[in-house]
Amino acid sequence: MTQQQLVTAGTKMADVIHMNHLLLPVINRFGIRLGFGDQTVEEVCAQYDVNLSFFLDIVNAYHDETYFPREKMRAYPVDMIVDYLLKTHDFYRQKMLPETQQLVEDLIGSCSTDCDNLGMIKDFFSKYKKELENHLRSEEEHFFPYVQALTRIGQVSQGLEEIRSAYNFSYDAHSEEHENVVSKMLDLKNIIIKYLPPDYDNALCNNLLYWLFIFEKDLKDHERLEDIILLPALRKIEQQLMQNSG
Amino acid sequence: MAQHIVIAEPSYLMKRGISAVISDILQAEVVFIDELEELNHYLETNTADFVFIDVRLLHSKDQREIFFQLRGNARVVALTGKDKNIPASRHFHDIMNRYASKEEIIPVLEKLLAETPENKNKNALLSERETEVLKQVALGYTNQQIADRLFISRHTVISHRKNITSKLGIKTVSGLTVYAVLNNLIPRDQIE
Repeated sequence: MTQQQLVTAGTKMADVIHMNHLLLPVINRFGIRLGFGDQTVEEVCAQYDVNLSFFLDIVNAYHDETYFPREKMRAYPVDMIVDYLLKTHDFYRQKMLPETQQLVEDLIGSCSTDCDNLGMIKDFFSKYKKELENHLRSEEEHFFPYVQALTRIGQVSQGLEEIRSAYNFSYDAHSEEHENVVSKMLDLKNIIIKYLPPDYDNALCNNLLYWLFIFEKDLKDHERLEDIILLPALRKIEQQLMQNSG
Repeated sequence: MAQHIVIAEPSYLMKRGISAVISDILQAEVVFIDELEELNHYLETNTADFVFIDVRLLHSKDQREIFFQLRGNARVVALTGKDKNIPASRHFHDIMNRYASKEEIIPVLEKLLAETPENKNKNALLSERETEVLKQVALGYTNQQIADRLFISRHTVISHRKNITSKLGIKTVSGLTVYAVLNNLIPRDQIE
C-alpha cells in the first residue's frame, strides 16, 4: 500500500501495520492486539467490538495528514472520542513519558567527559514531563467531564456560566497548555539535533530521537482531534444552550 | 530548518498538488487545513512562513479580517481560479492561478521562497545584541526587565527574540535556557 491509499473495511489488518508501523499503538488503543492472521479490518473490529467507521477514520487520519473528514467525525458521540483520547493519555503516561525519560537518562549517562551541561537536557525533560502530566490531568478533570456533561443535558436548568465554572474549564488556559506541550517537544528535538555537544553515544541518541519523533506525531494527532472535533462540538452545544435558555 | 507551510484549500487534488510542487523546491513542513475558521484557530498558536489559501474560503468578512490580523509574518499566496473578483487582494503577496502552467508557477514560488526572512538568516549566527538578549531570557528576565537592563525598548526586545527563535529553531524560554547553558553563554548554577 502506498501513502495515499486509504485503509478500508476490506483491508487486511496485517497490511495496515506493514503500511505504517506507527499505527501499532493507535490500534492497541482500541484494545486490538497482534495475531490477526489474514483477517480484514472489518473482521478484527467485529471481534473486538470496535466501531468500524470510527476506527477507519482515526487510523486514516493518523496515517495521512490530508485525510480528516471533519463533518463525519463531528457526528461521532462525544463519549467515543473522549474514550479514545483517554486511552492516548494512558499511553503517554504509562509508555511514552517513562520510556523517553529512560532514554534521556541513558543518553546523559553515555557522556564521559565534561557532562555537566548535558544535565540541562535532563532537567528540561523532567520539567516537561510534569507539565504534560498536569495537562493530561487537567483535561481529565475539567475539559472532558465538561464536554460530556454538556452533551448529556438537554435543557439547562443552571446558567451555562455556572456549569462551566463548576468544571472549571477555560478555553484560553487549555489552548495555552496545548501550545506549550507541542512547542517544548519541538524545542527538545531541535536542541538534540542541532546543539548537542559531541560527547555522546550515537545509538542511544538516535533511539531518543526516533522516540521523540513518534511522541510528537502522536501529540499532534491528539491535539488535532481536540481542536478540530471536540472544541467546535463544545462551542456548538454552548451556543445551542444559550439560545434555548435565552 | 524546514519552512512551515499551511495550505488552506478544501480540494484534495489541489492540496496534494501544491504540496508536491513545493516539496520539489524546498524542504517544507506542510499543514493542511479545510476551513478559514480552522486556519484562524491554528494561527492563534502557530506561526507559518507561508499560507496558500483558496480565495473561496475568504467569503466571510469577519473571519477574513481575523485571518489578516493573525497571519503575522507569513507570506500569503491566493489560489484563484476563473474568479475575477479576489476579495481583499491587497493583502496577498502573490497570486497563483490553478490553471497556470509550470513556467508560470515555478518562478512565482522561487521568488517567494527567496524572500523569506528565514532564508535571509540562513546559517546566520546570533548577533552580539541577540546573544545578549538570549542570555537575559535564559536568566529568567521578562521582556520589560530585559528592555530596562539593556536600555532598549520592549518592542526591540520582542523583535530580537523573534529573530533568535527563527535562527535557533527554539521557541520556549526553557528551551532557550538549555541552549544558552550548552553553549556556555551562562553558567548552569545561575539558573533558577
